[in-house]
Amino acid sequence: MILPNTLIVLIGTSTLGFCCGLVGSLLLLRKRALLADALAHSTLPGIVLGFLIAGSQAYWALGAGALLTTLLGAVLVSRLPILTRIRPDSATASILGIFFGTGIALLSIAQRSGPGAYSAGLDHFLLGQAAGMLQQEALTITIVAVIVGALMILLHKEIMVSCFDSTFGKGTGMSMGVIDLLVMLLLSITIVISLPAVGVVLTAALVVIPPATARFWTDRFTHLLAISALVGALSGISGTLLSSQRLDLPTGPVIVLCSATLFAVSLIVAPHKGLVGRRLRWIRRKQRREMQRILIFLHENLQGGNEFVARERIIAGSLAADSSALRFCILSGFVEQAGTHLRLTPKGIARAERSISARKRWTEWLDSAAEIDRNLIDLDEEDIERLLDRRSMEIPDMERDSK
Amino acid sequence: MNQTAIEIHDLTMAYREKPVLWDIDVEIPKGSLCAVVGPNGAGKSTLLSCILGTHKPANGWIKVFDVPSEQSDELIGFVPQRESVDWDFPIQVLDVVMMGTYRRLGWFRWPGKAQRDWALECLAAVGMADYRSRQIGELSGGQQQRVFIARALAQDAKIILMDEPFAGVDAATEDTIRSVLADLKNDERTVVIVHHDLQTIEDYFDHVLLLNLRLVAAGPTESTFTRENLLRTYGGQLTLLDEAAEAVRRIRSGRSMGKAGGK
Amino acid sequence: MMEILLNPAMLDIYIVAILAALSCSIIGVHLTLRNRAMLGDAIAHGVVPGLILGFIFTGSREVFPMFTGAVIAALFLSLLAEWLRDRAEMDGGAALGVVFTTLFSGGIILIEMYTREIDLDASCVLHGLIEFTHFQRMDLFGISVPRSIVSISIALFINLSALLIFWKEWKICAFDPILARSMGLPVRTMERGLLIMVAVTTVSCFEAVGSILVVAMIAVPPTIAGILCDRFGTMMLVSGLAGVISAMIGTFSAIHFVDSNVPGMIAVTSGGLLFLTVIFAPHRGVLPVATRLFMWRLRVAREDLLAESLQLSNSGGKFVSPGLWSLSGFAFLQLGFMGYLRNGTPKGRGERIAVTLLRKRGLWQRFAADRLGLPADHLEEPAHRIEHHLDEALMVMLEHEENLSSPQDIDADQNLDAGKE
Repeated sequence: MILPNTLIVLIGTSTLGFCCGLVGSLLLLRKRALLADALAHSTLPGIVLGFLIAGSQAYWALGAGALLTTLLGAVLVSRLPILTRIRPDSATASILGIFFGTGIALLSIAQRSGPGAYSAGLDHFLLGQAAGMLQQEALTITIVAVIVGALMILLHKEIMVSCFDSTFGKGTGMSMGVIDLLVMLLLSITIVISLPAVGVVLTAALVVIPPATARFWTDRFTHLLAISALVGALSGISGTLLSSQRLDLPTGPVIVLCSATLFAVSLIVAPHKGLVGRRLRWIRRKQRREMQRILIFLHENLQGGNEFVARERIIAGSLAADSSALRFCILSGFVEQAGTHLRLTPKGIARAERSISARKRWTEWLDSAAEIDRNLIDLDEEDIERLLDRRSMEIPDMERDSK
Repeated sequence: MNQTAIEIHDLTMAYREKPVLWDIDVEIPKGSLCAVVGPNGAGKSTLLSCILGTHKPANGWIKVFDVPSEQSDELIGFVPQRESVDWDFPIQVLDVVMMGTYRRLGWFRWPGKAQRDWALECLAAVGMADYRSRQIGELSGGQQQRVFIARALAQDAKIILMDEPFAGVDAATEDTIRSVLADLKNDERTVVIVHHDLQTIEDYFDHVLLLNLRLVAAGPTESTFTRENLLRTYGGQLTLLDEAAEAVRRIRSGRSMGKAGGK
Repeated sequence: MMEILLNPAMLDIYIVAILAALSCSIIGVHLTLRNRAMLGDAIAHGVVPGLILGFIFTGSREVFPMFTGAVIAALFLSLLAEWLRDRAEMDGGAALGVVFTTLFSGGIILIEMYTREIDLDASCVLHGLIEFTHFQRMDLFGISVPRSIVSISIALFINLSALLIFWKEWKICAFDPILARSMGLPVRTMERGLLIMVAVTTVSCFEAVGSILVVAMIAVPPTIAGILCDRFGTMMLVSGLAGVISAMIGTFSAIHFVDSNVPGMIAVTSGGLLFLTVIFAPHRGVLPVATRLFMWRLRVAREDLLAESLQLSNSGGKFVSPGLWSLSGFAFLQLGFMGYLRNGTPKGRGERIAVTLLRKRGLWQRFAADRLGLPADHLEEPAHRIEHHLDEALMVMLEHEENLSSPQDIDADQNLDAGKE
């Protein structure tokens, strides 16, 4: 059961997530993710100034003020390291501290000397109030999201070039300055419209987390944008629904926790870059490498491996890091054990011979041609045989073989 | 000359799944000026950091003057690649060189006049004494290299490792660095240098180590630096192997991701 | 001044502000040199759940459990971000951003859930309670002292002693971790130690003066010092000094001038100091650099004018004075004022300058053609710029080089020159 009010919030937060996800990907690709945090903080003085000048909490006044100081902050962060010797990271942190401090100082002036009753709500920009989103705010967010989405589609190749290699872009006559400016402008607008909903600090979360999540799933620019926008929208929707179940929970932080959950899941399970996949591949390679060494060691150094050999000697001789590879050899039936002594089984001998001949062929092959891919050098005997046999037979159809 | 300075046995080094060095077996004699040569990504810098003892190999071992490389701290000096240094760091030339004395100074003690004088002496040895109070970012590329060589001298290192000292320096600087290298050699120090310029190898170095993930060849320059070995290092049949690499990648992705990665 | 010293409540505010600014700006130098200035901001936000959990678990508003919780949260945050960067190969900034915003959201939710039990609202976390420093007291050896002064002093003491004891180790770890590791220094342990120091400092200042001051003081004074200083030691000193000055001026203006929030005003003051430094810093400031560039261009314009007029007066040509509204016009006026150029002819010192410049130009052109093998049509333009950079020592070297080359060449050059003139 969704109330009309919740529907407005739902539309607002999902389009906001979409918009932040898109803009955030550009920041991530420029390795400036924390810029979002600095810019979000630098809206505060603008909000208070807008309030002090307009004398009311009109949406446009606060928004215009916020946009102004955010742009000023963006310009300073990018110019300071060029003007003099300041590290980019320090420039970001300094602008954040100074602008936010100024905002707090102004806020405190406004609260102490200004029209007290009217200024009371300004605090809410620090943490945001997504649940109290007005129709007007949701509409603004939707319009901005449509514009941002359209610009991304229209300009995606220019933006991609500016993120990846802006020198090349300049060389081919694209005006990178305009693109950079546009990206900064989009970022600032996105941050400003998300303030009433999620507040200063959590805006940074919406801009940073979805692209970081998307990065685990893809290596392509357009896919990154799409996935990031999707993650943003999804966390907006799920966060709003979750917090509408328990009214005492603030919507903004719940949205952030939802996207953090998506992030954590991606971190673990994403097939190529996820931790589990990586770890498994690493263990498998290491174990196979060590198993190969053990088999070859037993076969070459110890009279074809027919003799029982002490376990310690095998580990020392084959330079295996621990005994897990040895255990794996036993489990696979390549090595048999009698007490603390081990020897190759007939199966193991065959395997070792196969390894040795594959290795020999492989070295010869490497000698004949040497532009080596890193993924290529450390192969199992199966891979080597498959690869070299294919080479000699010149059959290009891989799919059939690999099954 | 007969003594072995660095002995590497059966070394395999891997970051995650990807091996960076594979099955390296080599000895570098004492007092040699040795170039490490190979294509990009051949593991040259990784080999240096393994000798330095900052990376732990997956298999095999390295001994420096018969001591395992993890324990041979005082013996090895390192001149980093230009890009890996923070040139904006608030530090002056003499301070950089004095860092070389920190190890022997031990914890808690502050460097004194003795260390200062020694650092100045080392700085003078590379002809940079006049620049002692410049911030390091203000020096030219060749001068920066010399400062780091001076730091290795201050360490009193018997072995000096350099990561591409000749990259991006002009001809005059190259000459200066070369003469510093000649001094190091006269001093019976062993110098191992990652080098890119194949034209100058025969002039500069008496020992080469051809590397391409695995060891292709190593030994005295005249006998090792041959056309045949270079071909083996840099490769002739590029297209064939690219095709092979693609084949393996497809096999791998087909196996790990099911049908999705197949095509 | 007397009024401040006599009023103990006010004095306490000053002391807390100065101590907090000092310890943050020292820690900030470490972070800045490692390109991790944003860690201060991240920790200042990310410790919130630690504070709250510390309270929930012990059920007390005592300092110690909350402090411990916050320090643990700070360590957890920075280690997790580091782990994500190294193991999941994320961009360092993005990793930090993900972790601290998530923790902060968790903290906000905790506050909302337990809001009835904790009289702690988010804005007090941001603003801090520096105005009440004097009234939150504790007993120390029988003497009643403000609590936050004690906790910040402890943090400052830890920072200063760790800095002084491991001075050269810090320096080497920050500048060249590879060297440090190859020397057998425990780089990892030292970095962990630094994180603990950052966490303790941030949390102890955080409670007393709020997160804004922590964020600003970790970032801004080290940035100021980074522009001004070329050595680790001076950078530490200047950063501490900048922190103390910001604290004093900021507190003073907040109390006596604008009736505002003290930490906020300290941040504003530090911003002002940073602005002044960027503009006026002796070597790298915008203004000195621009002035140097302008003076140099003016000198080039003067010398060019003198040389041109000398050439023209030798060959009988007419010198046309440059338009007034240009750099050379200004240079022309200046030369006339100094008496170096009269009626289109260089006089006195002006003539000597012109002669020297022409000599340099000729020398350089011949050197460029002979030694560097530049084609003749490329000579005029670069020579025009480089001649102004040649000092006496270089000229002697060039002349020496020239004498070494064969006499035929010199003859040919002179002929070439004569032909040109």
